[in-house]
Amino acid sequence: MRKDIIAMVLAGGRVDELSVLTLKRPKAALPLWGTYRIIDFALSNLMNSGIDIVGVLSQYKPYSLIGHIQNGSHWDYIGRGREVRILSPFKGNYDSDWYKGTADAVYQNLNFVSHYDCDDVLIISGDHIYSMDYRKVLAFHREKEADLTIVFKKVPLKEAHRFGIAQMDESQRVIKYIEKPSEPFSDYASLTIYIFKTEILKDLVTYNAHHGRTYQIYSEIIPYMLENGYKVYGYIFEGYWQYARTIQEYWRTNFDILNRDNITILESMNIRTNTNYFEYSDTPPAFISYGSRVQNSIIPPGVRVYGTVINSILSPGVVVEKGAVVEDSIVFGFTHIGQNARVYTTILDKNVQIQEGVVVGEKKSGDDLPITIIGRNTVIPAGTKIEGNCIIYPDLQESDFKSKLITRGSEYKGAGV
Amino acid sequence: MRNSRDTLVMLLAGGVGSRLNILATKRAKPAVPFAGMYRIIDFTLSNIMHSDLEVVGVLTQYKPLSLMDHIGSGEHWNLYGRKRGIKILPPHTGEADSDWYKGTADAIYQNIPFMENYKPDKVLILSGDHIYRMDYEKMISFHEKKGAALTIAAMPVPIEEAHRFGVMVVNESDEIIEFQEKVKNPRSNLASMGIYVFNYRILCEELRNIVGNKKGFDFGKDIIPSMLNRYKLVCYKFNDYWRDVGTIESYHSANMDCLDPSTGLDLYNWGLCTNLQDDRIGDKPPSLFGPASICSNSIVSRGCIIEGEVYNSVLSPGVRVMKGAKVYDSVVFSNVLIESNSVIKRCIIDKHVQIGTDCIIGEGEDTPNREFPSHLSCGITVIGKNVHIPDNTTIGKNCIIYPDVIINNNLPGLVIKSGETIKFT
Repeated sequence: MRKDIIAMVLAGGRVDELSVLTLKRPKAALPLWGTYRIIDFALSNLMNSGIDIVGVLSQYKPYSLIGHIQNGSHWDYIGRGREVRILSPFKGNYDSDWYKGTADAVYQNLNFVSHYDCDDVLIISGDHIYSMDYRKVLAFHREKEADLTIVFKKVPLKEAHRFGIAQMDESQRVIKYIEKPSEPFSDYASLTIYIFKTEILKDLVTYNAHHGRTYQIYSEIIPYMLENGYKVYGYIFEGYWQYARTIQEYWRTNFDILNRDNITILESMNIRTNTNYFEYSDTPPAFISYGSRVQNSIIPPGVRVYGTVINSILSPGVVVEKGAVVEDSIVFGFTHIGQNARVYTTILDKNVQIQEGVVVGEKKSGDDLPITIIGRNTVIPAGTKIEGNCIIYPDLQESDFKSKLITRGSEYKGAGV
Repeated sequence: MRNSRDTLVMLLAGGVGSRLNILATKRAKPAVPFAGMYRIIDFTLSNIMHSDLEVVGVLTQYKPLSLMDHIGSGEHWNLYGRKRGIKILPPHTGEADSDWYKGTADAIYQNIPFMENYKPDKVLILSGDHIYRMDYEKMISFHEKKGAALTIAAMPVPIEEAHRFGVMVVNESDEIIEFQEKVKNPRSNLASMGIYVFNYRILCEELRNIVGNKKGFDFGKDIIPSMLNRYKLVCYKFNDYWRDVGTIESYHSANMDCLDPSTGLDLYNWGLCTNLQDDRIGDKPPSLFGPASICSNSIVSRGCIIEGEVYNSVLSPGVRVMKGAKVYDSVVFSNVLIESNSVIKRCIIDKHVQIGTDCIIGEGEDTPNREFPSHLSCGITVIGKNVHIPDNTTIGKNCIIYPDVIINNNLPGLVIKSGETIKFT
């Protein structure tokens, strides 16, 4: 089938820095801002850019991602000539052909690319939060007759060491690129959004598959292209862009939304999500009870508040019972916070049960952010106190808690572990 | 589960809802928004879904567009699939040039060809404009157990209201021995809910005899009385929450019932489904409560921004209440903007209305609406779709502002007294 451009979304990654939040889901499937998942941003951008064919490369615990994407209809990927396809690893010549890196993931799916007879391939990450019209990048790419166009954004120089950093000449041709340089020579950071000429991409990842060591686009393909005189150009993006590589970043990105201007930006981004996934679509509007207090917070449908919610991001189906306090926290879907419980500076994953009178976390003071995280489905028994900076594992039952106190900085996997 | 050969559903959704006044001038009554994110017809469609019925014909006639948009493919109520489906059945020309549905029975009569496709054993006839939860399966099994030709669902109503309904007198085995349609001095307070299970063959026979020969067009007035002494008619008694929401007052008070599950209307346990794609509700971000917001005993749908105060109110998606604004005891439809320091009391505000700063709406004397005293005397003020109310406006009680009216915003401190109706610019 003839298409001028197709897209591949790299959504496989699990990052250890996200702790128990990514024990059971890839980063791209993490909830954000109450009703979204991070991959909604990539998928909505693709939809808004009119890109018809999308392959999502996923290998780490893909169920929540597969369930969320479903048949793609929520991003209009349904109908003749439009589709979003999950490209999971498959058995090839060898017993296990797990994706070894981004370049390898593309290499293993070259038959998907070939199927479409396309001039260019857009490769993006599924775990960034931004709104971009990729058609503008494509127009730039075609105008420059580039072999590869990379999207860059200016970042504060002191943060540049965490990104791939490029130097460009006045025509925006990339003349130097170093991944995570210890001494940054520029403040143009790669957003890992690439447009490759299809034929060149095929050649390079095929070569890389036989000669590579890291099998990554950023550490092998880009340097190789620069060394060998390929035309690599940089498109400069200005606008909201965030990611969530660490808990601190995930936290900050979440709280960006408690700001009216950012809500307006979010509305203008035209971000769609799958409202049918699990019970989300069937939740009634939020109910805010008599005698409750809700301030500076995000309240999606299905939330019921009888207590106090301050500076917090709630997800659908969360219940905050009478006398309970939730402050400076992020709460995922269908978590229940019992009477008189108090939750400070904490991330509560999905379906967590906080029983009566439990105290979780510490109030934040100044720059110190003692984030406590409680994993999916865990039940915290009545009267337990969990201090700041703790990590509590998913799926723990009442009987897994032998002590009423979990002290600051603990990583708790259950009794006897 | 009952397939379409067992029981076919025919849903009468043509209701004009004229006593809902301007809320129903641009939409059929079943399409009127309710409880923030729903429409009235969602209650019936969700009942159908939970009763595991498979095929529904929807009879539309009056302003069907927003209803058709809302129903879509039916997938939101699990009515989409190989054997499941929802079909819109608009009036069509037949032997006469214009065959608009002349009544409830006529609407079903004109769609006998549709029903013949399925040749069902029974037909469940529903209307799309009531707020209730019912398991139709129980009623259909009751009908089968009784071996009835027709089963009518009924519930007791206060005797002084019974004249608005068809009422029935039943014997100790629930057989209907008398039926009176909207009479002055009803002999019973057992009111028909307009929910019928018919034996299909008998239904067709009766329709052909009565409607086909133009002897009558209505179930309550014509079909039921004619069947009374010839067939076994039984009453299926229902005693839970059920509201007709046919008037502005009952519509407002049923919305307020959503705030208190002890009224019997429990949104959180009814498993209601709706079409979130309609009006793109599902694409709205979650609601933001500002640093100084106060919200008490209220329903807040998605996409709202609350910087002011909201008490005992029902907010639809995308409502904005700015700093210092106060909303009391009101039902606010989607995408309404209430600017800072305005006070809204006991109002129903339709979609896309904008209320300027420092307005006071719903305060004043208790004068009934002069033009529609029978529609509006309970103190509620209704503001129609798309109206912009200029800054510093005062509007009293029982006022009606028609949809799309343009109010001159050069008038500083405009005052609209209680009981007034504004129809033109």
